[in-house]
Amino acid sequence: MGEWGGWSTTFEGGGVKLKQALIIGAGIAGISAALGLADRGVFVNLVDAEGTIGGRAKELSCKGVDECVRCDVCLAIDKLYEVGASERIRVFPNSTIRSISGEPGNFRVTLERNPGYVSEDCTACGACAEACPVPGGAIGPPGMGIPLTYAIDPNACLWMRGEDCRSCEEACPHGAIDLARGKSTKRLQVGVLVVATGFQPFDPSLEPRYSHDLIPGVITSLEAERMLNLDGRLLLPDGSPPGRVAFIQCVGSRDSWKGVEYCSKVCCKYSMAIALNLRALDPDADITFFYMDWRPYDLRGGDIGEWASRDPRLSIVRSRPAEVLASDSGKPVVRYVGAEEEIAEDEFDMVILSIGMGPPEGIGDMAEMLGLEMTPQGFLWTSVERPAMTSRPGVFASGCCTGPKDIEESAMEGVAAAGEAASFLEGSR
Amino acid sequence: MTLPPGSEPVTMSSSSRPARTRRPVVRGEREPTGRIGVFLCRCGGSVDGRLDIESVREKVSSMDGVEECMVMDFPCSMESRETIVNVIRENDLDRFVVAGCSPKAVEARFKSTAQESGLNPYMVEIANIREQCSLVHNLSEATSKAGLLVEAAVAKCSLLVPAPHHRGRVESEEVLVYGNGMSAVVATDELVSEGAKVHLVLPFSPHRLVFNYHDGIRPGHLEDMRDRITDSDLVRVHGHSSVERFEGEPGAFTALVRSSEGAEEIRCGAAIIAWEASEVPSPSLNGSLVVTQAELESIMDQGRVPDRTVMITLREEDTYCPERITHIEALRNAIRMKEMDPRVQVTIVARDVLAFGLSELDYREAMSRGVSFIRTEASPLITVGDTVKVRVKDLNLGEELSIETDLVVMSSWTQPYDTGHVAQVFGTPVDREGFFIPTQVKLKPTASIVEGVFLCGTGVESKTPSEVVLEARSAASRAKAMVSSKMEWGGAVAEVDPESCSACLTCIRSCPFNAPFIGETGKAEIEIGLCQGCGICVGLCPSRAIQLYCYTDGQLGAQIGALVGRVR
Repeated sequence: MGEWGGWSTTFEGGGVKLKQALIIGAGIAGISAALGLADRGVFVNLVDAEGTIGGRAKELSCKGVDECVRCDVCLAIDKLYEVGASERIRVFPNSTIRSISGEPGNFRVTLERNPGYVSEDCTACGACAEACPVPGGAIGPPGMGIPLTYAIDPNACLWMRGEDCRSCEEACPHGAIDLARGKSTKRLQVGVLVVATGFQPFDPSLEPRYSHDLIPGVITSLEAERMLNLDGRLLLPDGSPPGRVAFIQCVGSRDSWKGVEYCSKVCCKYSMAIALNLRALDPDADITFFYMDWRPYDLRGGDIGEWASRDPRLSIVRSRPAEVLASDSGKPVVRYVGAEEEIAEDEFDMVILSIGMGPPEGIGDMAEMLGLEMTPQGFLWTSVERPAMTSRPGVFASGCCTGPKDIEESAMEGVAAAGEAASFLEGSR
Repeated sequence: MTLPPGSEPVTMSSSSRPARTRRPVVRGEREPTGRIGVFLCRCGGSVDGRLDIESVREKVSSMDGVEECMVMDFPCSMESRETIVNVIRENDLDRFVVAGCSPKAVEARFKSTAQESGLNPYMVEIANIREQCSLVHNLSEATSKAGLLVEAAVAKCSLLVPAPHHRGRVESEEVLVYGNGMSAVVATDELVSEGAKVHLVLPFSPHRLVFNYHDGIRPGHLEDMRDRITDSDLVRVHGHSSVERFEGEPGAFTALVRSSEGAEEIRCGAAIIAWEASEVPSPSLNGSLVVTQAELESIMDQGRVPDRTVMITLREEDTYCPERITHIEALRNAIRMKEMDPRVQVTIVARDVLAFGLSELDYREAMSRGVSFIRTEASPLITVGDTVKVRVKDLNLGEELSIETDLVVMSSWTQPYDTGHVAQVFGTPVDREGFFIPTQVKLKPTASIVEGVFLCGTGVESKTPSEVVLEARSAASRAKAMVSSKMEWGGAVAEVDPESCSACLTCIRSCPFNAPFIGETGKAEIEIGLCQGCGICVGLCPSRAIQLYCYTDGQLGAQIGALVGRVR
């Protein structure tokens, strides 16, 4: 890592393309782009608003049952280690972009680093934790986080609570801790930018008729994934396993009332994988899918019709439910138009809303700051012919900020963005 | 052991330690030797506290060969790794064990720590006492399991021998693209714009390349791209040619390219197989009343549009096997018919309309222009007379419909042709239908089973043109990155003991990666640049002549022996 000091400050500007990149967003697309650029000898600054890298995929669960179902979640997780091992990638967690100026080949970027009590000089030596007088410690390592630096828990830290304790600051042999620092800024000069800020999962409160947060047992697919990821099981709020589960597809997709006219591509695939997990956990669970068109993006994942034909406890209903109500016992009841065009009602223990993908938060401001064109759907515009090219030279985009994608496609687009960015720097484009 | 020409062994002798014997004795048992260091990780409380690390230390430090055993906070941090280097140097250790978290997370770091200390990078053994012990068991179980795992690691470590570790020079930075359509053109374009030299091998003349434009790609764009690359100084087009032989290793492949004018050997650092599948004609087609989507397009190109059209997107077989592109094609053509004459009737028969992502907008437009959709599960029955009748079971109505129409448009299905010989030449497997099988390792999109050979195009899987573009650019980008990077080989690779080898060819037949070959002495040898360390040849060799570095029988035996008690 010793090389870092030398190259980050002493570049000459003025017409020269700086062989440095800034990647905004450290999800799977951003990481793939970072690794691709680092492979080509470009130094990469990888910025993420979160405390650790990995993006949305790190919240998702492996959906393999007896064998791999190609959900690709591991693809994202394994790449984190590669970033940690790369000496050409510098990670700025908890950071956002305050301003970008300059021109393609030589952009000047100001990062805003949120509570940066611990700087990147931290080597995780542990001296601060030893010095901390709080029982259990108010400073510690963030698990398997990358980068491996210590973080302060502001709720436990005595100094933050108004007492006069700066033991960790004094103990740190590298001067990496500054309790008074708060927000800090960092200036960078880079040749290329890659925007990879991902997506925003659909907010289920915008679809109040499905009663998310109102009826216990109505959860989003993302909540189901987190539960499977952390616990390996899907449980109701009272801790019991659900016997009857419904999936409602296209929540926040294919819905012009919500301004979402596109299909989110991944929901059929992931919800079927969650359902296969449920089936493996409980061979007797009743599972019902409410859907309009079955669109498994990765066609090798299997067909719901074929599954339903051999599993009597799986029902598929081609109908978009009108609402989710509470039964007398407080369980969710799905109301929909049945096969005979009648109004049908079915009671379940758990209703999983397969939520779609929207443009990421703040993408409009980002586009304005960088002078990028957007699509009518609110994503960044990129060329069909050159998938990572935005409307501005020197600025590339990859992943879900240009439209809904699955993990594999995001990874491929990240690699493609690295190719485009590297050849821009080398002057051949 | 064969080294690729131009590669050189990485020297390990930066310390004053006497050099180890040059010829590593992989085969057979070996007396436990070495001066072992053991570094146990507290992991800031996620190991220590959840298991008794002190008692693990006591247990291990008395083992044979263990010269130094210490507990550290984060051995993986930069500072601790410097400490480890110093401990190794001061105590003249020649191998070490780290007990902490998953080798996936830390192995690479400790390999470089070993190198910094002047050791072979494979003289390290990792014991996972975090994910496999402290995070999942209670205190006493975790402590005893951690003790066993570390003991087993020490037992294996004492038998480690320096594994081969070579850095190869890339012999050729040129890339071979072997293809028959769109993805070959796009991959070549990407390589050229990244500054790579390309050999584009095509089975026909480049002017016979045809393209599909159903996915928002500007018509004419691919023809322009084709003309640009064929004119480029960086590209050599081998038209009417095929690759007859392909051998070597990443960075130094040799391909024999044969055309009608003769054969030529080409050196390349990487290769891309960019094969497109082609249409399988439907049995009902008759050229006038029952046509393909492509034929419909040429009818529309002449300015004609039939009054009544039924498009069928289901396959005339029982299996439900949708292809994304067929639905997008049908939607685009239906919209175009309605644009030409809003009065015409267009019906699309499908089970599900596969309008992924932004293609949903086409679906909406088709519906708003009055295209009707019939949902069915079985392929409709087509009767041809003066007009055509289509009998179809409508799932929504629950009734059988009989539709009279002027034209039936069948979606065509794709299947790669002629991939068998490509598969054989490159050693990349194809499935029953002829589609190339990408590597099982999902961590590498576009990678084939052969290191240095990449796959893209509809010959791998049916996909839309914009997906083909993305995949081809991604494959090209990876190939270019590979030939511009430093390549390293070694570690867990197989080695043949020539004295035991009976040249029975079992290893050559069983290796999925084409790594073994018969060398000049008439015995099997392994190309280490191709060996992936899978161990298949080791298990199958009837003479037990092959061993895998880092996982020899002796090492594994010692490891298992420490876990379950050695039977002597």
